[in-house]
Amino acid sequence: MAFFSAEHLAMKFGGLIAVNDFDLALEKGEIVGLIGPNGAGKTTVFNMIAGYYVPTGGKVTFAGRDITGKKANQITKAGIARTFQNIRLFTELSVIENVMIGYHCRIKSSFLSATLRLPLYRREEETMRTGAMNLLKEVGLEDVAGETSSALPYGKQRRLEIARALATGPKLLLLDEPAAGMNPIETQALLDLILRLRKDYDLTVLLIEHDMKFVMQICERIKVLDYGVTIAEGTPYEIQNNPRVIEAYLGEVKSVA
Amino acid sequence: METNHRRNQILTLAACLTFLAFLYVADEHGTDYQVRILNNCAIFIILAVSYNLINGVTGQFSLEPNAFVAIGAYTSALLTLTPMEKEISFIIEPIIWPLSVIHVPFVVSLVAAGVVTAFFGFLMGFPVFRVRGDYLAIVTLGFGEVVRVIANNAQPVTNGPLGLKGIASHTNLWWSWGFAAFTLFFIARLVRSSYGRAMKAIKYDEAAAESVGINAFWHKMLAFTTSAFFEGVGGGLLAHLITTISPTLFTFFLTFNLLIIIVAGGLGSTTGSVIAAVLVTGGSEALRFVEEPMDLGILEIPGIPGMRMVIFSFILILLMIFARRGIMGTREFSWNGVVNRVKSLMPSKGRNA
Repeated sequence: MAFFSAEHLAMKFGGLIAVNDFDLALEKGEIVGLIGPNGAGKTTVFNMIAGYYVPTGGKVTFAGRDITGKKANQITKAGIARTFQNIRLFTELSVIENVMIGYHCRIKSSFLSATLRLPLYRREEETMRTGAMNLLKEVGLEDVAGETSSALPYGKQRRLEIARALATGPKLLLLDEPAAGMNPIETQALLDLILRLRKDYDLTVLLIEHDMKFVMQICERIKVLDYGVTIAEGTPYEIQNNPRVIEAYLGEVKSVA
Repeated sequence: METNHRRNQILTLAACLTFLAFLYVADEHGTDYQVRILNNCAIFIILAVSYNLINGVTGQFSLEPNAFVAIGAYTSALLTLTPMEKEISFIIEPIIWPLSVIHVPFVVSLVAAGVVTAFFGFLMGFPVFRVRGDYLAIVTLGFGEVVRVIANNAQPVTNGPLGLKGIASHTNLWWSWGFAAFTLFFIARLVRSSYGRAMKAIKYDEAAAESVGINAFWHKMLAFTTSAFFEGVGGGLLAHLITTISPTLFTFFLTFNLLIIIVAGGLGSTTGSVIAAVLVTGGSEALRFVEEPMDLGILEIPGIPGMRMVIFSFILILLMIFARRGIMGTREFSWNGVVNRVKSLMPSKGRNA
């Protein structure tokens, strides 16, 4: 049985079919890309997997459990973390606090023992702080740990969001356009980062991205959506040469008589 | 770092002792009026700091504290009145059993007020946190009214519009400031803990908070119930300070006062709530003169009750225009901050001399 699978996922908003009959199976450790033109339903798929939408049809299983229709926080606890297309940090909190909040869902201390700072909580607070610091080192933000997160430049905010997602201890990481707005050098650094994190944290990665160079370099498999329907699936090489994909992106090739 | 910690502990201890000495002097030599104002300050600190937990820290704009204060005040008053006193005051309809026979010490009644109010807050949380934003404000405002109307009509429990009279004036400076200190200690620590961080996360971005595994609903409930507990205790202290309570005391006006305090202090800042609670409570006494008849030579103004509120509203408007984040913003008091501030002032003093 696959590590993660989505079967016949569908999402209807009133009369609009945003996603239809979406199938996806991920093996442990894979990096898979989800691409498609704007409005193809990629983020809708993420929102269904991560618990922001309840799918109108289909089933999602993860690590042997049915997680269809579970709430976002339960899905994160089950081991799926995500980042957002439009960065969503806790803007007025410091960089390290943002990451420490990621650990909150795993703490064992009760609310009272945390408020009264009992020994168990103090140890956990210490673990959270050192863990957060290590994650910040991992993504290269250790020197700005004390700064307000909204003061960071765009590229660093993206990396902070990844660090925050990692703090929740995920097995599957969903990245929604991680390279958006980055220059080629930053994109290359991001690529190295994702590959390193996969190895260090034993991750499986599903990502949405418009930067084709990035997608073709990093993904082992790619799935292409258009108007909510899967139009192609395969290795980067196969996708690049698939006529339906080219048509979806560039429009139909009209034969010139 | 280690020495700073030591220094801060000493400073805290010194500040506490100084304040205790101040309270002792006030208790021994202060006039009734001064003591009354100090008691009011302490109670408003309790109310504002706990209201700020849900409104400022967790960012859930709600308007129910008058309900919580009412529940706390009635609970503790009904528990400390003697069975005899209750029999005398409930003239229209007799008080229901077991309330008619229960009589407990003051401190027990305060804790009971907190627990009962927290319980009501907990129950109320289920329906109200199904909505957000403006809707939450409206729903909680409705609950505030519901509690007041119930207090007005549930005669066998609350004695209706007649209210409860002859409540022993147990609240003194030690009780009020003792509980204010406990409230501050508890809530400040809660806010600094991991649970407090989770609450702040919900304030800044609820969807993102859910994405890192925070159960937004339960954390809102936690903030709301904790807030209710302390509002209840504050209500109990208030009842034993003014010794007579009736439903008219717990109108939306009370909530509005607290709202002014927490907004003026800076939503989300416990320190700000404390400062503003003292300023507003003290200020409303200082401004009493504006409600008296005034003779300005060419113009004679008769005493207009409510003039103070006009001035407060005006100050609030000015705050919203010029200092939207209030006195403290979201910053908090810390000894390190104070020491750095003093240090930064020192050299310039040296130069001037």
